[in-house]
Amino acid sequence: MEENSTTSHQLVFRGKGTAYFEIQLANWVLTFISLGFYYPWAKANSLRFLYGKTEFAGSRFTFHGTGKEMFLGFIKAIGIFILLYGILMAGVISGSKTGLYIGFGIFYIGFLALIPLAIHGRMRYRMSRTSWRGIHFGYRGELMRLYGLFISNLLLTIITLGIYGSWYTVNLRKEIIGNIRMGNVQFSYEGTGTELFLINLKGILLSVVTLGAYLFAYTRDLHNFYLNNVYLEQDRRFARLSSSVTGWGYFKLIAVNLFIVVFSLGIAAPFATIRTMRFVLQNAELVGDFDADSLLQTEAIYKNATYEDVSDMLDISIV
Amino acid sequence: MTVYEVIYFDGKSSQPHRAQVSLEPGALQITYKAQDGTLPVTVHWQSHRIEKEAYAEAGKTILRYGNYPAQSLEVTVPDFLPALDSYYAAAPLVTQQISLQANRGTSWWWLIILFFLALIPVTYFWVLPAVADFAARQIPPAYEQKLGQTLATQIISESEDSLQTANLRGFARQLNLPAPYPITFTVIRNAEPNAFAVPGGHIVVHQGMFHIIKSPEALAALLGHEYGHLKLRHSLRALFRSLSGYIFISAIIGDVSAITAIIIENANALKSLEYSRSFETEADLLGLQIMQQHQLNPKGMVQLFEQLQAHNQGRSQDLEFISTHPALSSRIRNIQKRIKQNNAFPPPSDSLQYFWQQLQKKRTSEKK
Repeated sequence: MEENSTTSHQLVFRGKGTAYFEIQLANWVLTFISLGFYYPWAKANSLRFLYGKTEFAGSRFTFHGTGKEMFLGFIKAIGIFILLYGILMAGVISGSKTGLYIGFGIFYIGFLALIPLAIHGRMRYRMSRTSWRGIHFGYRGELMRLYGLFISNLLLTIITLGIYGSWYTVNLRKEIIGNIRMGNVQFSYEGTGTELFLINLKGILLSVVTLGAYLFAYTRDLHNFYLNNVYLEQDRRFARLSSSVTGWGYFKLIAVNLFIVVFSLGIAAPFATIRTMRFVLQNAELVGDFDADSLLQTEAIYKNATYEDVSDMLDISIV
Repeated sequence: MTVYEVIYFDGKSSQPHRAQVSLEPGALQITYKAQDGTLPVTVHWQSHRIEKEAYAEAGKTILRYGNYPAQSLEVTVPDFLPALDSYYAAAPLVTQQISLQANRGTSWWWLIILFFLALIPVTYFWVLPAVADFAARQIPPAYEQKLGQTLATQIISESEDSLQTANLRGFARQLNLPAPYPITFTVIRNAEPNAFAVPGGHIVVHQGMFHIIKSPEALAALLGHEYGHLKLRHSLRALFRSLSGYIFISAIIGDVSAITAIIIENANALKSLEYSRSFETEADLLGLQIMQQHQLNPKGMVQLFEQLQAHNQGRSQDLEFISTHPALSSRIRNIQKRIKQNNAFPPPSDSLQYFWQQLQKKRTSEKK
């Protein structure tokens, strides 16, 4: 056993569509009665279920976040968005061209400026409030570094008419994933912009040629590129995620999900979520040198959920 | 005293420890060996601070204890949880579960949910429009006028026909249309027969409209209808209604994927057609009122729509279901229902006839 210490730790999702449907149904009703103010609690319920049903190396993840924590963030997020829309409206109503430009300018710059803040805030909160076998995750990224990266890469992407976008995506992933800790385990992302650029180029060209049929294979390539390049380092021993989704698998997932959601007018969306979770997680495993029993608690507590909902409203999804 | 075999995590490392748990008064007693060959360690968990994992699989119990970082234990003995619950019944465990599974067998929960699911469409189709209308009414007319001014300068960019504008204003003045702000009538050079009202007091009539209108009564009907849109603040109300509808649906559905977003958008668009149809009908009725006030033959409105219908024929199908304006024929039926039969009407006043003739003169000179 010693000479070949390569192990494989399976990720398993044990959530059932019916159970999640019941949770979401209750969430909808309560959100409705409370005129939307239940939203943070609804989200906590949903995340607690989804994390609690995700099993890695035989143990579940735990989401520790509470509706109460997220409610404060929710209120602040609403405040920020009302402010931004207020400025836009004021610009429009002012009637003058300059007023209009200033309103639009502040609105869009405000939105752009919020993105790194939202990513940073959400990563810190989500990671800190997630644990596995009692070992908490953590995010050690620095906000200013993320801003620098975000702005410089955005400019480069604009200058190169979008070509740099692939490198931009990879750089952002490197920064975000590279700052994730799971106790004393350090994450890193090792993909390169060139690889992603080639995947994108191939994907777009073949999708056009095949009238969209290649899109599923393209999505598969992106999915595997994002997951297979995630490495975990634990006391100088390394492991990596390995994902084996197929284009056909993606096709089945998307086609059936579309069917479920459209024909239930959205009511059965929880079943689609469960199918997606199962698809992603059942097809992923951690391979390499990883000792699940020797993780140590290292990360400090962090309970500020301000940007958790800002990122919801910006529709940012990370990892 | 029963002792249960459990897996214990101390919150410092991910090392699973085999531990023995026993139920002691007020606290759970956990005994484990930190490492092989060392002396056993004992920890106590106060029962009322123990948190139970809500979503563990059947037969498995997961408990957590303490603030950051939490300790936890997993038990696969099925009778552990009932024993725990009954032993600490006085100070029960904390759980975050909201699933209906916790209340299974109690059908009233389902009844409440069905009730609220039924309430959602009721709210969407009846309560929400009323709330939106109420909110729209709270906006002072002066504010609406300011908003409309910006819009009007953008919309009325086409060149104005100043002579016809003067004639139309003269005609409209005779109708005496009361409003919280002055209403401006404008004729613009556009051959497409059309007329519209911009919030804040602008009524715009295309030149092409005068090719269609054959009588002063029909023109009065047209102006009365557009005035109805202004007076009843339809633009603002439509804006508030569609906004509130959108916010409502996304609040209910929450964070569902993009597919639903598309459905929502379309559903909402379909409904705003329904809105504008009811608004058109409202405006028709107000137009009729104006005509009655001036002793004008309400058949003028029927004529107006018939002329428009004749114009539309051969151009596009008059599909009631998806058109923004309710099908003209259904509007005609609606008006005819309200017109008292066989009423004799005096001819329009001299002043109305005067401006009507002026408008006609200009049009015929245009033709030449």
